Amino acid sequence: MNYTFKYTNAATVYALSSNVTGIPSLFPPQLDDSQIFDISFSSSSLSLDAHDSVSVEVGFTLRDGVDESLIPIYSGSIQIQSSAPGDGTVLQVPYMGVAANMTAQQLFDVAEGFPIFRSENPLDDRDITSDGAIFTMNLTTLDIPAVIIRLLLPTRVLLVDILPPDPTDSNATVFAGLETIG
Amino acid sequence: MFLLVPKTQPVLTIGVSVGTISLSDGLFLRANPNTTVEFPDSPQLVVVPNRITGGFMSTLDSWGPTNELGFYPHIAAPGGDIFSTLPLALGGFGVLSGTSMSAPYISGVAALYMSGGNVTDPLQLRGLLSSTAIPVDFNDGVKTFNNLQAPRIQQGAGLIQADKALQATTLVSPSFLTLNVKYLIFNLTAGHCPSSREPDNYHYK
Repeated sequence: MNYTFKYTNAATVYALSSNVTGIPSLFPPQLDDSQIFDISFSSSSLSLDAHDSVSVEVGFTLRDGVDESLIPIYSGSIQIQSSAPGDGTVLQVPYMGVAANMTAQQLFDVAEGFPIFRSENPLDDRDITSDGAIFTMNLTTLDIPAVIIRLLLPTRVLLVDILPPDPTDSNATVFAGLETIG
Repeated sequence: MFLLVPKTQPVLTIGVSVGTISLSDGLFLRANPNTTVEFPDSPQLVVVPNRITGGFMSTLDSWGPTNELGFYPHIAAPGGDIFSTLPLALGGFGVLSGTSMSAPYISGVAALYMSGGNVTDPLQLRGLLSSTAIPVDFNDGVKTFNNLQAPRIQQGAGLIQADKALQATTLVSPSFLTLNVKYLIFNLTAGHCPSSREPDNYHYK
């Protein structure tokens, strides 16, 4: 059986909106049909006997000048032209990659006043970080401090720490390097 | 697993009182105003060709990748405006959309494959379905972008092809390449026999 390798690229999609900074795209997202990467194969064709197997190495190289700011996600498929009976001539191995550094992305939406520190009670607009703000933690009157956070992108871990005004507060314990009381 | 809109769109008319008559019947009724006309009260299946989104990915689909940038979704099957059975309390038959419609299609193909007596590893079967699927062009719900493949984070491997999956004799693994690493290696295995019912000349050794 003879196998020949080619590849196709699907539309590159930009995860972030080009209209509003830092906001994920709405449907339909911005698409780009230009190719932003090159693919190489360790061999462009080969032959195999029945029940034999072989490894093929594929290299992906991102082209210079790709704009990472909108988080381009590229994809397509390796096309395997096959002479083996039954294979229907072409088999495919789909691929996808993200051409941006996800650990460098902004996670928190800081527009429109976020994050918001306030009471759980919608009628109480006290800032919970102001001096002397006392909450009785009453579940009925919702006299409970709340932190409202809006994420732009998902995160595996989100921690909110309550720090004492006085760093030497005896109630504080060290967690993740912070003197925290909750 | 994702849904795809079929090329023809069956529409079930339930509880909509619509009747049509010919011109000559209309003239007869006008001349005989006391005539009683009866329309059958049973649902009628009307096939309306969907020339706008039929055969392409649904605009309702959520997109991949996974939060860890893993390849997702994996494959697509018909799932938009599917005429199928419903609970009797809901009329017995109806038209619905979603993965509730496309998942049984995938399951059916898997069952068809395994009915050949070929017990297989689930990942291997998924790989066979994806390597033999066919990608579709992007459609935004209004128009199709010809020769612009829908992103794989929308359609995965593309539209499942039961016949191609049953006939294929080459296995490819891994069946998806999730990048953000520099080099990837995949393996080709020739002479894989997907079905015990296959003719002998498919066995190469």
